[in-house]
Amino acid sequence: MSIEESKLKKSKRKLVRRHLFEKCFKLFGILSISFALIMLVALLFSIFSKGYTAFYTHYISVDVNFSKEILFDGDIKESYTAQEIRNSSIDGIISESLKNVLQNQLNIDMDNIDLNSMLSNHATAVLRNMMLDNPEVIGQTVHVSLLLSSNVDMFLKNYIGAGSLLNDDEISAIKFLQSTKLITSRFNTTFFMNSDSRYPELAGIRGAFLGSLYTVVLTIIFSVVISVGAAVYLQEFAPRNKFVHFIEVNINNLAAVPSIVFGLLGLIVFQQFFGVPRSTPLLASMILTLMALPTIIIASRLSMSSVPFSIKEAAYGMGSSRLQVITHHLLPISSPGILTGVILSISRIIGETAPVLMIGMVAFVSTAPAGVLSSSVVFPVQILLWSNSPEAGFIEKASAASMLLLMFLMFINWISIYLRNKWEVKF
Amino acid sequence: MYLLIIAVIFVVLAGLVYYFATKVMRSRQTDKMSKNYSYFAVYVATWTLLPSFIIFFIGSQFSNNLIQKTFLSNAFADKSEIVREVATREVLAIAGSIQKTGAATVSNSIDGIADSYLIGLAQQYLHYSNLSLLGFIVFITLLISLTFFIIIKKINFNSNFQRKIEKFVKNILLLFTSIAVLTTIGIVASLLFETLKFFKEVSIIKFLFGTTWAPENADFDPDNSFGIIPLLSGTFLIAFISVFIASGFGIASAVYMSEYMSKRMRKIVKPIIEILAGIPSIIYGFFAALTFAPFLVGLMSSVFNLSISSESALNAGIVMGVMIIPLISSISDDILTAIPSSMREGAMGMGSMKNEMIRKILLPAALPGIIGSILLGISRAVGETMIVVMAASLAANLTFNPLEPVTTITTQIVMLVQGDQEFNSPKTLSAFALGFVLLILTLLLNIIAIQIVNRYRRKYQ
Repeated sequence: MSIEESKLKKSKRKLVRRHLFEKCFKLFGILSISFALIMLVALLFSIFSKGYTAFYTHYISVDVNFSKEILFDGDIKESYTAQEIRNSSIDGIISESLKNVLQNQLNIDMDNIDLNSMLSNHATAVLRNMMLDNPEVIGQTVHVSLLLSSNVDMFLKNYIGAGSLLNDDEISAIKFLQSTKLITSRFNTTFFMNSDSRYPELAGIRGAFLGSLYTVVLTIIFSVVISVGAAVYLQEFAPRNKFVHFIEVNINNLAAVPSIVFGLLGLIVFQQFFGVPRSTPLLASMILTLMALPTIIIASRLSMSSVPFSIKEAAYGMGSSRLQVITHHLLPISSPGILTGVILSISRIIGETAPVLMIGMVAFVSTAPAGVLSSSVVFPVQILLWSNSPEAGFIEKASAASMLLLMFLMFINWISIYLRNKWEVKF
Repeated sequence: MYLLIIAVIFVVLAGLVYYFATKVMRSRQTDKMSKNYSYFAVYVATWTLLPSFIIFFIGSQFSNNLIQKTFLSNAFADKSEIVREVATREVLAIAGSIQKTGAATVSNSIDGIADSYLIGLAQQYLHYSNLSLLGFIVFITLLISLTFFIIIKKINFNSNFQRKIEKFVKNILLLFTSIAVLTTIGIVASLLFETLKFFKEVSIIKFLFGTTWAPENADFDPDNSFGIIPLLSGTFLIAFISVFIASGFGIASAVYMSEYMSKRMRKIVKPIIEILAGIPSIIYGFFAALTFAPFLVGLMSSVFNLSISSESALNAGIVMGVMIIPLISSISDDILTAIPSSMREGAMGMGSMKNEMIRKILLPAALPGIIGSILLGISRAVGETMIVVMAASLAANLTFNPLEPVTTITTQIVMLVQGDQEFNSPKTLSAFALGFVLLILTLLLNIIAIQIVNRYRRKYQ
């Protein structure tokens, strides 16, 4: 009796331990899923919270008096040549107008305020172009909005450390201007309309966007033609011999080659041997095509192999030739699957950075590429270039660009899922 | 513009050839049964246009070069070679600007040569190249008509043109397929060729077993500055940290998702975790360098009182591990679901708890597949570039301490290739040697991994 009791007790104790272990085991599973989810959320949060501020920027609206006295240093005439206007002292009239606004603020010493660190270079250019386009404006007072510099912009967006680049007088001037609603925030069109720039407030994604667009369009054209052709050959024409088996193994292995090696291949074979111009979308798309091939070929073959034999046999029975069966039946039926493969591989290609670094797509390019043969950067490289810059303004731009890239990738992934569900034919 | 004209001319010629071919076929056709002229026309058009297209493509490259070489180097014959080269480039740039905008703009004046002279040369150059283009177009048109007549004369009108075209298409498709093989050959050949060049200057033994990596010293001591050991140690240190993280969390989440989670939850959670696989590595690198590194430095110094470099292996490794989690978890998930449920039911019927069933039945059964997925993860981590370029150090450091900065093979390749464009210096060549090592490493890992996974998958099917 006592032995049995002690056995029972022992096994009960053991059962409690086993239940406890089961709970711990489950908890570890939950923890590891949560770890992945937390890292995902942290990544998205850190990028989105830093990046969304790049979509607006700060302007100051002031009355600028285009006084001939200040602009041309006392040289008062009826009209001025374009050369004179270009050389005029525009900084003078800006600082005069700021003085007018700040005249009642006794605690601010105007001499300590450095205009170049307050206003963007763009502001001077805007005023100069106003005078060049419309010389009548000289001598009058006009209400204008001027772009503030990145330092001020970052300070207004409460970036940590942004205030250290401004002195006390500048900070109090900014606070005063903000409280009088002279500084306004607006949607940042510059970020979308400009290409890269040395000044963070003027830098934009247009060049990178067009570079990526050209690259991706060319890659889609090349890779779809080549890989669908290859898939058709392997699925329909290829004899079952050693050579074809070798090709299949080869394609699988290509999918595992690190992307940087493809970059080295492009550098040696396409750039050095075939002489394709360096850092152009054409060269990038040739490399990326080779990277996209295995994915699309494998997806297309999978999709083609799911087309039932009965359809093909019926077509043959009606007297179709092999090519007719392929173009009239096989390709149309398997096109949703092919499309999904294409979209998935393209979504990888868009974010691919290492191979395009190898072919010199990292240079500073301040103009949008004119075509596939002009040097340009692509979107992910632009992120790399900006995130390597020390200015806070560029870090913000890099985050915003990453944010756009992520949103675009999620969008096209969603499209691919949607299209697959909509068009997929099940047999 | 230039390309557009050529394309239009070719399309028009193709249309004409097609039209005439159908006409010829109609007049010759005796057999009224087969009225399919289009195959014949396509066949004729292909064989007529293809040779002239190839001739045109090669010829246009040559003619431009010829004009540049003879005409421009004659113009600057009295100048030194460097001036000649610069002046030639400038004339071409001016010609380009005339073609694009209509106005000649001289962006860089050259000492000793008047701008107006350059512009004159550019206009002359354009004149010549237009002339050669015109000559080409006439020549091509003649060539196409000639080949057309020859083909029409020689062709056997009773043969089956549909079959011929299908054979042609099949061969084109074979050509596309062989691009995959050509790529592999290209990769191996180009890397091998450059690597051999590298080993002419640096001994292979010193490269494979040297313990100092300092390409900046390459100019005065090339033999002792390319030792790959510190790079290998750094690469594998980061790879092991990342795979340790990814396999721990990846396998555990795969087990939890396939064994404990309800189907509905699983349908929500699995795609979310797979988002991690779709994020480009540049964004992981950005996150690692700007958000996670400061966080980790702060955490280590405040909680564990450890000083850690902001470019530490741990930082890059953890972020890379997060990137690899979905790879390992989805393969493990596939393998776990492939295990027949009779095994689960048997274990549960014996009174085991779920965790005992998983630990003692499922995981041992799935072990080969899981090991395969881990190997795939290592190969992925070894080849990963952007995270380490942004988050790891640039200086080589032979250490196994995860708190210290290390560098990797891929980082060094990026630095070396970006650094200078001197293609025959041992510095640039060493990048290709590193690329070759990387290729061999990843391929070996992959072949082993895929073989393990496949062998296991077949067992239950």
